[in-house]
Parts: sequence; C-alpha cells; structure tokens
Amino acid sequence: MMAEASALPRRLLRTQRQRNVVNGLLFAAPWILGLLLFYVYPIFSSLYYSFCDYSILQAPKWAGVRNYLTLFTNDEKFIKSIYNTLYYAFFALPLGLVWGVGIALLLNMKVKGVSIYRTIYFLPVLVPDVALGILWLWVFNPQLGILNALLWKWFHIVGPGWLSDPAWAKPSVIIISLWGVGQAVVIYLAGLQDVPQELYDAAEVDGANAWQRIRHVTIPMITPVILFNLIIGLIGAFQYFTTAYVITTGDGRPALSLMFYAMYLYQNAFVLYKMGYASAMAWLLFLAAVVSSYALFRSSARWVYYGGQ
Amino acid sequence: MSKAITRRALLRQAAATTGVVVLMACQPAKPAEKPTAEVVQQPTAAQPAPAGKLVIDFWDPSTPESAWAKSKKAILDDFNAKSEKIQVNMVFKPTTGQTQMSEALLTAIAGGTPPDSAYFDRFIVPTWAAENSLTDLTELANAAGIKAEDYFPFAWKEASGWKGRLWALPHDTDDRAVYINVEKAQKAGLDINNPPKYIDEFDQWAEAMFEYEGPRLITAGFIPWAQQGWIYSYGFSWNGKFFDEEKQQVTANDPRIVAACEWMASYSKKYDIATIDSFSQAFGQEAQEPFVMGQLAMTYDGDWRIASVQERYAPDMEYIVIPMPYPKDGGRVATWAGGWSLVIPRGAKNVDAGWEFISFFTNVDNMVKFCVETSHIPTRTESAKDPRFRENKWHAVFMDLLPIADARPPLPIGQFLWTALAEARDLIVHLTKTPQEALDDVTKRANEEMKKYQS
Repeated sequence: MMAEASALPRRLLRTQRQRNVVNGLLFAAPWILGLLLFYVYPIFSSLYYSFCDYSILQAPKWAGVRNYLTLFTNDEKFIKSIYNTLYYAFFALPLGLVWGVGIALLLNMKVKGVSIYRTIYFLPVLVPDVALGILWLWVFNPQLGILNALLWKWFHIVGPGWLSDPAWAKPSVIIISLWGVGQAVVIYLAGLQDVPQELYDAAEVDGANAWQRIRHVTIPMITPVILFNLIIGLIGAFQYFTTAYVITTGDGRPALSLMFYAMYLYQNAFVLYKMGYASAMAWLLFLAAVVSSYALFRSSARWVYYGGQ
Repeated sequence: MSKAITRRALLRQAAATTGVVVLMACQPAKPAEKPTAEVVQQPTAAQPAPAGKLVIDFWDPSTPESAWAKSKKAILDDFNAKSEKIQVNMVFKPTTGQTQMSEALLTAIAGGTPPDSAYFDRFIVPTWAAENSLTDLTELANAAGIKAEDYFPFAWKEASGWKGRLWALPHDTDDRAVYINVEKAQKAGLDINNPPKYIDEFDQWAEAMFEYEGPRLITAGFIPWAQQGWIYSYGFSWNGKFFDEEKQQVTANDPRIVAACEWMASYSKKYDIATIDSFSQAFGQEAQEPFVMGQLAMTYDGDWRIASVQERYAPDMEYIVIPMPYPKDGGRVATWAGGWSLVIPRGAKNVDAGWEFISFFTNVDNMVKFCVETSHIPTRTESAKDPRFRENKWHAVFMDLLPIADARPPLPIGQFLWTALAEARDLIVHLTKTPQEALDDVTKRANEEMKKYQS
C-alpha cells in the first residue's frame, strides 16, 4: 500500500488529502459548530458582560470595571461566600484525601468479599446530589434525625442543630462530602494496584513494618493519583453548589453560613438577573481555579513521584 | 486497492446513513396517532381555532389541573366562546427557582417573541417595567374607563409603580394576620375573647403559651420569623417606611423598622435561637403543618391558610384571627398584601387582542368567580363586596384589612430588596448582626442598585 500511495502523482495526493480534510471537517462540523456556538461564544460574551450591566431583558450597558470593583469593595456577601468556600475546600479536601486513601488501603487488602465492600463504598457516588441533600437533611434533623437519636441513645449527648446552627452548618456539609468519597477511592485503588509488589517485598526484607511500608512505599507511589484527585477535588470544591443549594433552598441559611461562591453567583444570575455581576464572579472563579491548579502543579515537582524518573 | 478510497467509501456510506437517520428524526411524529393522555391534560396543547379568529397565547404559571388553572381556564373558555375575533390559548410556563417569574417568559421577551398576555406577580411589575419589558397600559385603561379607584390602593400602586404609568391589571391578592389556637390559649389561662391588641400584651400571650417537657420545647407560643413573618410584615406594623418617595431612596434602616427587628431578635434571645432553630426543623407541611400540629400556638400567616390548611386538614380545630398587634406608641394596624396581575409583555404582536382578553379576565364578575373558586381575595373593591368572602368570619378579618393594606414598595429593585431583607432577617434572628448593622447594609446596597434606574 505504501508503494501504491507513493506511486500516485503528487498533485493528486494533495487533493486527496485536501478532500479528506474537507470531509473530516464536514463530519466534525456539528461538533465544531456546537463548540463555537455553545462554548466559545458564551465564554467570550460572558467576559464582555462582566464589564457591563446586563439583565437579559435589555441590551448590556458598558460599566467598565465597576462590577469587579463592587465585588471587592462593597459586597460583604461576596467576601462571605469566598470565606465559606475556602473553609469548605480547606477542610473537605485534606479530610477527603486522608479518608479516601484510608478506605482505598482497606479495600486493597486481600480479604474475602472485597468487591462487595468496594461496591458499598462506591454506592453513595451513584446517589444524585439533590437526593443526597434531602437524605442528609433528614439524617441531620435535630428533632427527627437518626444521628441525634443515636447520639442520645448511645452517648447521652444532645446533638447540635447541625444544618440549622450557623456554627455547625459547614462542618455538616463537610461530613456529607466525605460520604461521597467513593469516586476518589476508586481512583486511589487503581493507583494502589499499580504499586509494584517487589517494592513491598524489598521493604519487608529490609524489616519495614506495615506503617513504614505505607509511608515509604505506598504513599510516594500513589502521589500522582493524589495530585490528580486534589486538583479535581479543588475545582469541585470551588464550584460546590448542588447539595448546599438543596439543603438551604438557595438562600445559604442559617445566617449565610452555607452561602457558597457558586450559590451566590447563581443568585445574582438567576434570581436577581444581574448577569454582568454574575459573569464577573464566574471569571474570578475561573481565575482562582487556574491559579490554584497551577500552584498545585508547580508544587507537585517537590512531592509527586513518577516511578522511574 | 487504495486505503483512501476505502475510507471514502466508508465515509460516503456513513454520511448516507446519518442523513437517513436525520431525515427520519425530522419527520413529524405520527400525526395520525391519537394524542396521549398527557397531551390532553396539558393546557399547553393548542386548541383548534375557528377560521378567521386571531389566536393569541396566555402564559400562566399555575400547575395544570390545579384549582387555579381550572378556574382560569373556565374564564378563558368563556372568553373564547363570547369573542368572535379572538381565540386565547392557555400555555403553562412555571416560575423558575426561587423567583416569581418564568425564565421562558424572560427569554421570550428578550428574544422579541413574547406571548400577547401573561399572568404575572404584581410585586415584580415595576422591575420589568423599568427594564422596558412590559407594555404601557395607561391609555388602554383610560379608554376603557378602568381607574385607580376601582382597586384597593396597594394593588394599583404596585401595578403603576414605575413612572406612574399602568403596566398591569391587578388580579388577586392575599394579606396576613395572626392566628391563635384557642385550645392552647385557654390551657395557658388566657382570655380568648379578649385577644391582645398591642405588642406588649401579645408578647405575654406568647410567653404564656411556650410549653416545655423537661428541657424539650413542645410548643412555641410564637416565632416571629415563622411562616409569613418577614421584615416587611412587622416593618409595616411598627409604622416603618421602606422607601422615601421624595428623596427616591430606600430607607430600610428607618428607626421604626430597626425597632421591629429588635423585637424579632428579642425572641431569639429570650427563647434561645438554637433551641428554636432545632425545634422548627421538625415542622412539616400540609397536614403536619406546625400550627395544626400544635407546635406553634400563634402564627403570623396569610388568609389562604383558612382554606388550604385549616378547612382541609383540621376542620374541627378552634382558632381565632386577629390583626398583628403593634407597639402602642408609634405602631399601627397593618398587613402586607401581595398577589398577581395580568400583563402584556413588551413586543407583543397583538396588543389590542391581549388587552381585550386581560381586561375581560380581570373584570368585576370574573375576578369574583376566580377568587371564590380558589379562595383568593379580589383586588377590585367592587368584587370584594361579594358576601361569599365574608362567609367565614375569620376570613372577614382579612377582608377588613384590605383598605389599609401595604404592598412591598413598588421599586425596580423589588426582588433585590426582598432577597436582601430575607437575608437580613436571618442574620438578625441568629444574632450575627444587630438590626441596625444589617439594615444599614441592606439600605446601602439597595440604594447602590437603585442608581442604575435613576440615571
């Protein structure tokens, strides 16, 4: 075939190639058009709108950097929503990491019925976020919920108001997030199974105990997976929305303790129709995600170990 | 055989297949088939119009098959039967999320293809008028002899809240007062025939009816922020002014409103907000609703409770209704009223036909009909005279409050102010902010928002 192709006149080959390109583009056209119309155009128009007053009902009016200025100088709720979101990320991510790796280590043990346990830990991931929110509303219900009932029955502790108490609301949603750690666990598990057995054997020969094997073999070998989960988790935490929206019906109660960044963005866009303001918030969120992901990547040179490098 | 040609043949084959699939998908879905049950139920399904009739749409947010939708549909059918030139289709467009409007309507207006009439929350009329999205009905109303005096003042004020022009025809309304559980009051040794008029006395009643079982709260005498207890509710009773007409400034930090919020916060302090929060987490809905369940001995709620809760779930429960008590110095008898209206969106193609329909829909008789069937209250003073609205003596209390009822200030930033005040209430009752701090902040931000509409 190679010989046949090179025997063709060069001109024909070129047109053949061109035709292929055209055909290929035609076939990809629905996707390309979709990308341009529904991704590229909205992304760039939202950048433009972020410098405008825009209510959808009327044409956008240029406002310069006023939206950005107001956000930083005259919007306590914006600052509060950043605080809430960072608080969530700061606790949910490391806890999720430790919890996730811990469960993955357990599920990586060679015990009978391990696939059943794996399934059990993965199941919560399949619960839709809305159902998750409603389910935990009941679990956390201070009067009727199972959690406070058990706390009382077993420990004689009067449980807190969980989601109704401003001091407990954020810890409560962090607990909810730990329940959905199964997705990360599956990825950690895959990473764990890639750790070469000979390293463990060598460590054992050197007299390393179980903790030392985890600390000096397992963890370094799965750092690439940890990095991946951290970045995905960080972006997810920045965009944290659905469960908190369901729990608070969107108003971030009690006392704005559950007003997360994405919820405030949504409120500006779809309750108050301040699309320009919401667009400005969206771009700041994007920047924050880019900068922090980049920082994580940069830092990874110091702690992520790619086997063999 | 060249690889390229094989690929081309394959491509051609694939393209042909795709084309067929697309063509198949484009075909109308079996028009001969009988419409399914769902389609019949949907009022969205267009009805066949008799030849020569102009067909217009009426977008409505009531759940299909609900009492509201049925009652509206009956009026619409009546219109269609009487009108020789116009045929109206009722189209279900639900409201979106936490808002009182439909995103479908928003995009239709923005896209220049709105319906010729729509059912619309009166409270957001000024916002949409200011956004140049409603048709000015002033001249049409003048020509038809429809005037402010036909309506209760609050309703007209909302409908004409932007630049003094008329943007909507008011339809129904609701207002709010205090319900007291007779059994609970008597158990606490209170004289039900002599209910409180002023707030001090009311607070004593509330205190007397708080009931504990050991440390556990069983009945709350009153929770100011439960059900319809918003800052607007008490702001009016304390005689606060939310907006200064002369200066065109939001004045949510009016000392009277601050005082009303301090009263709300006093319940947080006295009865411990954590206890009340935890207690109210057990409140249910419908038949498990807290006033019916005896978890709330008194509640500030709307007139609709009589039909939708009391008569339906607790027909034997004894209760009384009183206007919200107020501070002896400087307060007043007050209630706040909301409700809906009919509008013609900006850009409607058939304004005259739309007008003919919405003025028919809101005429004296049809308003009575709809409000009786759905247990709502009319905004036309003439319609409100119908004796059926006073058949239930507690409903009569709500009817008596109408002439002095307040609406939320008709501002282009109505939704913004509502959201901000709802959050302020939450911060205040959780003692996160003092009423003064919270309301200063609302005022500052609201006036910042107002600037957009003032230039």
